Amino acid sequence: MSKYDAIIIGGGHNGLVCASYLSKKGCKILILEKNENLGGLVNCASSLNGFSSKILDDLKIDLPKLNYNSYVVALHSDQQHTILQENNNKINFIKSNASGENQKKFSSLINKYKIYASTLSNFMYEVPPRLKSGNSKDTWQLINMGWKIRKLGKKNMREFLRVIGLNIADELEDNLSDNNLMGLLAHEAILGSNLGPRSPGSILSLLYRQAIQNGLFASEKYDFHQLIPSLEKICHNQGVEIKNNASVKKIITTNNQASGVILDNEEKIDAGIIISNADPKTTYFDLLGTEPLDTDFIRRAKNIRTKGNIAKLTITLKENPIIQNIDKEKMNAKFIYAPDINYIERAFNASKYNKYNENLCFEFHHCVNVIVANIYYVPHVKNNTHNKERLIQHSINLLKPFISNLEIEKAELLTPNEIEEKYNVTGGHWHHGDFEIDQMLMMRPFYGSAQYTTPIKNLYLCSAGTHPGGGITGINGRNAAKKIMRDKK
Amino acid sequence: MNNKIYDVAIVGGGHNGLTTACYLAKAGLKVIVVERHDYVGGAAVSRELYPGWTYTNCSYVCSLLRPEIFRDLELSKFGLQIIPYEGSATMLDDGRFYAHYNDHDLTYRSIAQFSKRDAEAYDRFGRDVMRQCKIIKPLLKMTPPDPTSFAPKDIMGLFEFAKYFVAKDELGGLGEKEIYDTIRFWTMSVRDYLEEYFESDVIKAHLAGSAIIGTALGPYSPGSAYVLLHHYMGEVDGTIGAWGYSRGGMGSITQAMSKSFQSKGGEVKVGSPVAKILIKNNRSYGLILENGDEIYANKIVSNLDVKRTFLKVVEQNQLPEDFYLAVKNFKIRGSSGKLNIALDDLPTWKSIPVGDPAGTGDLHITQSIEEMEGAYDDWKDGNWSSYPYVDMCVPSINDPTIAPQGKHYMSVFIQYVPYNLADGGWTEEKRKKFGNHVMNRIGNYSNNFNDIIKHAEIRTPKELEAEVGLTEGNIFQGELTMDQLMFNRPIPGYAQYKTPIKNLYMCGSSTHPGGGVMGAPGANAAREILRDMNKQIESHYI
Amino acid sequence: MSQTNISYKQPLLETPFHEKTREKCYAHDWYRWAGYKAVNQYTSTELEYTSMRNTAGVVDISPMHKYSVKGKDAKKFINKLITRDITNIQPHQVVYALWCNEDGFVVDDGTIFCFDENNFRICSGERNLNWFEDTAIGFDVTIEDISHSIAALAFQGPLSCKILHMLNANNIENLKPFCFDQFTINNQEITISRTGFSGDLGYELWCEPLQAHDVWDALFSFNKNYKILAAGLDALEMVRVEAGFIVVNADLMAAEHALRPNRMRTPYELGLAWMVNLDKEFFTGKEALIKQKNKGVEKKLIGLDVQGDKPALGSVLYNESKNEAIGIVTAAMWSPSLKSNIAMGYVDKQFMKLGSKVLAEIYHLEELEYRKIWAQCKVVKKQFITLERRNAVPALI
Repeated sequence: MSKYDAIIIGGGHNGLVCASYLSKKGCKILILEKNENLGGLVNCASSLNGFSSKILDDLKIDLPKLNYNSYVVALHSDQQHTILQENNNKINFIKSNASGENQKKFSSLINKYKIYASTLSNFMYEVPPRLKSGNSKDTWQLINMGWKIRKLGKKNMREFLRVIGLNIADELEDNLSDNNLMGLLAHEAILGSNLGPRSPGSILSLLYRQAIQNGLFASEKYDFHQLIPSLEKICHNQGVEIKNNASVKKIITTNNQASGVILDNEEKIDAGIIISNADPKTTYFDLLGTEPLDTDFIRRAKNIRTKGNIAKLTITLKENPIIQNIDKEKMNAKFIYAPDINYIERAFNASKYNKYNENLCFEFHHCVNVIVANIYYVPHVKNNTHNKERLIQHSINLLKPFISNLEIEKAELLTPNEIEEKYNVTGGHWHHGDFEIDQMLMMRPFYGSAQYTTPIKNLYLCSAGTHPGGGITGINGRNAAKKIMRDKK
Repeated sequence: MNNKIYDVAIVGGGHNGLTTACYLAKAGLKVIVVERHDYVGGAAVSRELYPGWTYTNCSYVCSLLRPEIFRDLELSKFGLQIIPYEGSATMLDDGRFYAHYNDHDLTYRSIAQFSKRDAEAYDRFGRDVMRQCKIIKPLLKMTPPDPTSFAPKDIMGLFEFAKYFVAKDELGGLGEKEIYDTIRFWTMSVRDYLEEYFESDVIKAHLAGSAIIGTALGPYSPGSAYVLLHHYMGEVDGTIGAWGYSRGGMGSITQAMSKSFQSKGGEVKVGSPVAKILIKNNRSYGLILENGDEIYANKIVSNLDVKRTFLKVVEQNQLPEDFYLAVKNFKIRGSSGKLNIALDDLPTWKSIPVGDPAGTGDLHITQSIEEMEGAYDDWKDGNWSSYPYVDMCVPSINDPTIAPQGKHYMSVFIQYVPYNLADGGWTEEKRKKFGNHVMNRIGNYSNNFNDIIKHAEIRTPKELEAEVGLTEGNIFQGELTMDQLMFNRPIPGYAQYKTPIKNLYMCGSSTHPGGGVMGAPGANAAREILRDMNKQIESHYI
Repeated sequence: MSQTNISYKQPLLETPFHEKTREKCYAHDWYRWAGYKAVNQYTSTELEYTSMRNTAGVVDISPMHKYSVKGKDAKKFINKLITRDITNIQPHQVVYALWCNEDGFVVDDGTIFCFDENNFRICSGERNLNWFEDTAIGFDVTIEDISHSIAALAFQGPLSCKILHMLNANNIENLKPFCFDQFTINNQEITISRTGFSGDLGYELWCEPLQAHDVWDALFSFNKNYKILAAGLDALEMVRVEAGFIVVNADLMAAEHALRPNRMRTPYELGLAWMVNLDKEFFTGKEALIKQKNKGVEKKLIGLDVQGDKPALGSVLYNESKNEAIGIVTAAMWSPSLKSNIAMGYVDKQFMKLGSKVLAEIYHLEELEYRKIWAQCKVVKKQFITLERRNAVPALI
């Protein structure tokens, strides 16, 4: 008899959440984390504001509240930066060169999307229903989903159905005329995706961000640095065993049923349920191997789009950074450089060909003298042929115009290839797979693997590659746990 | 002006307007078609723009014209004949060419030269696309249901939509897997879709061409695979995806339609640009022409695109504010250019032997999807593409009526060409420069092209707009993206051929199912009008 | 540089035997098979068919698709591919196999030749390169399409062994069914397998294209006494129906080809349950087939003994009261050997049992007019003809 009821491969946030829910119901869980530290891509994240407050409640996680007002600064090359503050879902323009009309339209657009986003958020906590499964439960769930959309009212439903396939650039150009505000909203829409502002589906991406976050600009309300330690503590209290530096080599199956894992050091551990917090491609092609998978299933797994395009830059300065026209109080803002739609689109253009040009977009936070920035679009390239030195230099050059005292002590950059290597995430993709209409809901990651299950009995998925998607919500882990409990009955 | 009151007046004599006109005349109604130019046809027109040569000066190939409409309107009786393609080819820079033929085995071997894997995958790809064509076929005919409405008509429409979606009749029903495939096909980019089958660059480039014709999307853009479907879903004699030439140029289609219309008592008034649609108490009752004459009719149908209709010939104060705004925001960006060239001889190509059927169909010179996407990038910046995608053909090889003996006419369709050219916009000089840019590029692949050009007519989106009335030169009367298709086309809530104005209808490609020389929007609109008038007719389509 | 290997004037390939087959094809009756020119009928299908049951017939089967499967995981790969278990296969053995997709629907059928643990050859009717390559992902195996580099003949009939024996194929009479070996004929070393599509004593000869003419000529060496005929595909079709063998894309739609999902079939629906080994660790489609085995099939491919002598080609099958269509015929013929009217087709599950009675609605064209005939049919085993000489070892010489 195995010591454990379930093994979770990967100690990222979804794995920890899944373990927390399962162990609450009395399951004996073992988490195996390849790296020294838990958290996975949380260690790369720019913001954890997407983490589900419902889950914080369920698990009784009490994160300390942060006391400062959170600002957002859209950097302009003429140093006349736009400063916003988001409070209780209202946008206040602290400083902006945009006309009153533009500011009004900006806010009203965001509010319009918020309504649609909250409809979408209804679907996030459920295992996605299958289309035409013959199962009445699925049919009812679909009817329910349709009904929720219908409840938006005629006007909103029409608009929702119109914008869901639309690109953010067109919508912005129809409504606004201020380049910088347009760039700012476009930035929020496409960060983390493989889309440009003119790509159809970019509004959907924005809706998703709004659905999971409290407020559009991801201004932190809680001290999320405590998130992983808090989850770890809960797991510990509920009897979950966590092993770091334990890399899983293979998932063992017997008679099409998951029965255990083998570690890199050849140690074999049995369990009746295996849950993979690795992304779907890694799970199927590395951990499980293709031997127990049908050929057409393998084709679909191969076709998931998982190209990452964000590089993480960490620079340590000799002293705290100074930005012209930003006073000290506002320095704890999120800084964004996405000056206008065409600029972003041009940066995006190069990434389509697995190249990048010098004119990239970025956002950063700073803490004391350390700046942590997400630079995009830096594509994942085969064989990792990035010229890192050049990329670091380009990235620093991007920051130069804004930070007047940019004297660098240390600069580190993780390309998408390196993120892939370090965190074992295919493509270094933030969300384990693009979030687009054909890779969402009951098609995420793809047919046959979209309800946290796999063709192998008792092998489950709980990573961001599943419904509802990425964004460090923890919902994937929770939903997977619910599915597992449901299946057990 | 005379006091005659027509049953229906149709603004614009494009192929959709003529289709609507024919069906209504068939029902015994008194119909008049009012056309700005001295000739009807809109974008399906053949004109002798150079002595001795007939240019099919906008649209150039026929496939999407619904066979049931062809049959209902008796178009062959009025002179229309479609000649199928024999093949298509992409000419490569290394001196080879990649070709598709009518002969399936030959096509297999042609593809296998580049990749055996792809040659085999092509069958699977063809099967999957064919399946999608069969699924979408009945959807073209439908009036889109309004998903926000609880009216019985719309609820029934939604059920019908769902029924067609699972193709119970056409394919015996689809399973869950095939339904996901359909959703994916309708929302993915053509590049991602092709990558799932093929490995070879040139094959992907050859197949992706249909996905970018007329669009403001690149092959990497989500939604471009749908455009591929839109172009594949035509048929020439039951072979789905086949294209053909209209004998005598595309104008033969509209001439035949016009003759068919007049044979049923219809009236065509050319040379009569419409200034405004007359509206009183929110009801349209007639037209006023630019010369001041008035024409009265109980129903007005506009064949103009939705922007031209509601921003030009209807007063703003007649329209609800949000409708007006939505029309202003309707996406109709032009991205295509056209060259019509009179040639003194048969153009011969460096790579394709004379007589090879691959040279008689559509010809391309793009080597990879990256190149096509790069062409799109240029357009986004407001420039014509440095490496444009060209879709060329020499219809006179198989059509004996359009060029003098021994001489030829070549049609060149180009993506991408912006309507608003950066750096000050289009001038006569820039237009010529653009034309030369394209012709030089083509000349690189030919033995004699540059030497045999007698005349070249160069059209940018500006000329397309000026002649045909297509706003911004968009050939579809509106982009084919999800936000403007089906129940969103042209405006959500107004996708059933009706407008906020009573008795004013729309029948152009701005309506469902969209552009291409299909006739479906026109026929669907006719069906709605006849239904509103409680009239029946015998028809294969309606 | 211009294209040299394909020309629009020559859309079809010619097999290595083409010069020889063209010589004998007096009736000039050809068709396309896998992109090759193939003979339907050389002189008379009736005579060619008879030769396959009386003396021997030679069929050019070179257009068949052949794939080499080599590597450390070759056997593992094949075991994942097919529904049967070949764990214990030995070199020189041949296995008839089916492979299915994830829903249990047949992708194709074919024969698997074992050269050794790491070296196999798969012979199939349809193209399978993509399917094999995708199945091979994650395995240490190389798949190569060698279709054009192997010439093949089917040599079927009661005299086949005798002729080969007279050609000094060493110990050919003791070659067991579904085995193969190297033999020398007319100074050419070739592979001969005791396999075939006729349900009779017969062999398939595999050689290199340059050897083709010599091998062909050899088989006709003794025609003065033993009249061997070149047989076309129409004759082959006749013998295979008698033998009860299925043809993919004729009796069922291959999963990778079917436009309409409900035209695909599982091995159970084809009556080939014996080829599905559910005890095997894994193969593509296993889970789906387990489900179907437990649920049972809705329809099944069976044989029909049809009343009268008008072949039931393309007929719809009805229940006795003629008010419900319960099946369709996929292959039918008058069998000269059995003097019976036979057919293969699908019937709904209520009529699956042997001995069940159904009606075939046959439209017989009689000098420009169709006569509708309701023919009584009895459900019988697909294998209409059983010949002891087929499996006899030593074979008849």
